[in-house]
Amino acid sequence: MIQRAIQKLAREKLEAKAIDLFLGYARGTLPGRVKPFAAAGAADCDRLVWNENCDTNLVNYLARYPGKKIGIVVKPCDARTLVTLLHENQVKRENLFIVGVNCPGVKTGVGAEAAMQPQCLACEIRKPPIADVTLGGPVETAIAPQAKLAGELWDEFKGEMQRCIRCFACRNACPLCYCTTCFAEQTMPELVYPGNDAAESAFFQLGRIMHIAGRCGECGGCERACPMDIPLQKIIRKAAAFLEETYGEKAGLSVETPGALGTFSPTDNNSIFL
Amino acid sequence: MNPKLLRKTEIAAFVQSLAPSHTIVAPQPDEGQCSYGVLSNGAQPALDGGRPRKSAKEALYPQKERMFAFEAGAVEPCSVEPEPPLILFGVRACDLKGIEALDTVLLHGAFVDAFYKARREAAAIVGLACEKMCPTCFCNSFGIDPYAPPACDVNLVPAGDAFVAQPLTEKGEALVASLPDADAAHLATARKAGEAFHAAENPKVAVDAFVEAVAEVFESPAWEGIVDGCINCGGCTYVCPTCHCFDIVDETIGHRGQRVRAWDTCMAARFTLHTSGHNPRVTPAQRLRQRILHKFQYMKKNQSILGCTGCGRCVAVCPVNWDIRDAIGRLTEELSTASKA
Repeated sequence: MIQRAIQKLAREKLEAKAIDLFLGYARGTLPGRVKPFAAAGAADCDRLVWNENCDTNLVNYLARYPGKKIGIVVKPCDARTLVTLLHENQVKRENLFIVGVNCPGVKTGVGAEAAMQPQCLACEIRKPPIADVTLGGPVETAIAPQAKLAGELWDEFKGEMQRCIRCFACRNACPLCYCTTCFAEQTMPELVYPGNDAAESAFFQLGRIMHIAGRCGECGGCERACPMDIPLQKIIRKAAAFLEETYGEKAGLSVETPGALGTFSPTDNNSIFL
Repeated sequence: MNPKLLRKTEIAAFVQSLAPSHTIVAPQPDEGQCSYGVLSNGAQPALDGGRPRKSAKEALYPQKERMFAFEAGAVEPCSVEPEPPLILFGVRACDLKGIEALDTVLLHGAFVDAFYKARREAAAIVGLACEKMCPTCFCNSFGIDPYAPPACDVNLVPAGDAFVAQPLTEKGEALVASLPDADAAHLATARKAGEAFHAAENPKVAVDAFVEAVAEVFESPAWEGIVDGCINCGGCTYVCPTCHCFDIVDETIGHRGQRVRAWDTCMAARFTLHTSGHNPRVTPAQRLRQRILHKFQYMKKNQSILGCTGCGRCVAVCPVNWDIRDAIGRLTEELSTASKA
């Protein structure tokens, strides 16, 4: 149903030349996998798929097509990252045709082996905060109530950093990591040396988390991309929860107001600053 | 050399008997999968845990290696610090082939890598035949047979409640000398395991046709066509059994420092960034071309070996399902058509 609707919308918009290309998903090469796919013409639209495995956040690809008019499929979390990019003037709203899909969470595997991806278990945002068309019936409940991230994550984090291989898949999978040169790959000065020292990996990860705190749409793309299965989202959610408690906002939910990092008031809570 | 028998219940004890004089690297459980790592005292290697996340190359060629240390005004000369010799225990055939490929570059090339050489020559390698292929495996496309593996001293073949340990070198024979000879029943079970493996092999990828198609290619619009969703992370290259490119940096604190060699990845922009700021390889297509041509053209020409062993790890870890098997098929078709046109 949703798949057919996506194909139809993409075809109509491409035929009408309202968009230059449509970003969606195509069948993957492995069971339970899909791959990002850019349909450039009406003939490509039959290849667009929609199923419970459509996990990749396609917003990550918008920067590839500067100046183009783009149709894009977004889940609620993807849409949150898109809202952040709009606030940060990285994309133009008038260049986008946004097809939102209400999302009950994405799965790994197919059929009887399908299981909810861990990144989706505590998700509370089931409806895209921005869309031109929204597909799929309403999804109300979180699958598991958001567990309070109590206690210190530091020891766990330090342990996980022993496993980081610094492939930067987390960063490259993130639509919000759009710096032309990442601080971790800067050479003058060299802030992070190449290799896999846990301390330097921790420095990189903490730096990245600081950069996306208050902006992150919690799509879990970083964690999903990690070849070592490091639970990055746990730490990122902790930062997001802190921001929400301190500034009363969840990132990427409001198209009108630019979020905690985009506003300033003399009465802001300054307790985190030295 | 007589095949020996290693009972599954006796693996931990056998490995430990080797440990006093050696460091044992073996697959161990790792967050639902397994990874090669230094085996702690008395631990059981995870020989039934499937393909380890990363290849075995890390044991011989670590991600980060200190070459020498220095202080202002003085250099502590390069020394290969003596380490206990390694036993790589339970190495998959794709990784054995990977070690063979690394040998051609680091051991038998114009420059011999002293760090690699010291470890490699002292190491004993025990292979482990797979019972079945993972969905991403395509080692058979490269003629790799886990039941007649390349470059190892002993090969372990599953045989029900035991492994048949087939020594293939004198070093291997000495390693398993304490084990009893394999009996006829276990040898028959091991043979059956090989037959079952071969009967259920994955479809082959046409590697020869691809190698021929890319033999002389550099500039081609075909590269643009295979970029797909590639996000240029380095996951594929860091889990690869043959990728061996490195970066050298001086890590300094005040007047002290060390020169370090660390893995690098051709997927990253910084890989080819010049001091001037110029970067000759700016697009994702150019970087993918490098990764593919290094494996299927340059290594073939320079080392007479391919830089891919069909381990399938790059396919398994790719966040966007960029599949080299698929790319090989599409490129072969496009490049062959282009050359005929």
